[in-house]
Amino acid sequence: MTKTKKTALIIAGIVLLIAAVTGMWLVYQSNITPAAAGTKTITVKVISDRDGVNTENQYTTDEEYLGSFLEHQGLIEFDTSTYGRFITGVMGYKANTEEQSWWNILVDGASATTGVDEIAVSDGSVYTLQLVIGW
Amino acid sequence: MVVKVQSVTRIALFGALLYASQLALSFLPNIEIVTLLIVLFTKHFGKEGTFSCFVYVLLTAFTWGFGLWWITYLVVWPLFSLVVYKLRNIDNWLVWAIINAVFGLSFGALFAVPYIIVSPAYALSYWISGIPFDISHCLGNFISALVLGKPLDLALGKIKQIFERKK
Repeated sequence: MTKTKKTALIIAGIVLLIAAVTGMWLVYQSNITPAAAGTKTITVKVISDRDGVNTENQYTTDEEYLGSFLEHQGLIEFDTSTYGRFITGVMGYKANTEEQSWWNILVDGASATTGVDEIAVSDGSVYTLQLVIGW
Repeated sequence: MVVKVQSVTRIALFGALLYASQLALSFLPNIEIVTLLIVLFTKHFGKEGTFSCFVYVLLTAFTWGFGLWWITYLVVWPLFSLVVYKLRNIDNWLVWAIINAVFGLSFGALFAVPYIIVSPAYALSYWISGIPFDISHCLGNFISALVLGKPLDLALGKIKQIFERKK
């Protein structure tokens, strides 16, 4: 391989790397809702057909993100990784890997695309924690 | 026999070095020189570098415990070492900086893969929420390879010569 070709490949590699970093940053930015300060009134639904649970409660909170709100309300149990909380239980009802159950989060009826720590608490929103069985 | 003893000792030593380097920098989120050291060990000592990854992964479990992340560790690091082994003749450290940066950038995505089985939505959210960490990992790997790669490469080359003279 000629020196010119090698240099061109290295430059192409750097350009692609910068493009990948920029692309990922844009994906991140487009999925993060900025937190709103102030008092919000929200609804939290908990649904688990397995446990016969279907509750709906309204809360008034100054919390900015759903993860910390749910933790401070004592509603969830979770594992913590570098990337934030992973919900393992809600109101004492635990997800179970043997039965392939897990807690899904819906924001105003649509599945969340970010982790619970990146979901900004928004006034009037309905947050549903639903136990889903099956991967 | 002497060669085997030397080889096993090096694998243990490299694994311990990988582990110590990770612990030393664990206060910085996703900034590490494990990637760089694996490149260096694998470039100079071939499969010994790959085996040292298993020692390293085992040691991390003793510190951080076992979990789904550990299974990913067990696959990702040796796999990266095997890729390095295939590319071991590359001597340009700018190229290695790019390779290491790509590995750092894809780290979160690789870790999200097992979660696809649990929940594709969670896997996606896991990857997206970790993007800032992946970017810092990418930059850290790029800079560490660019700054430390060549001098450490030369130093390890000299150490390897000493080993070879003693065979």
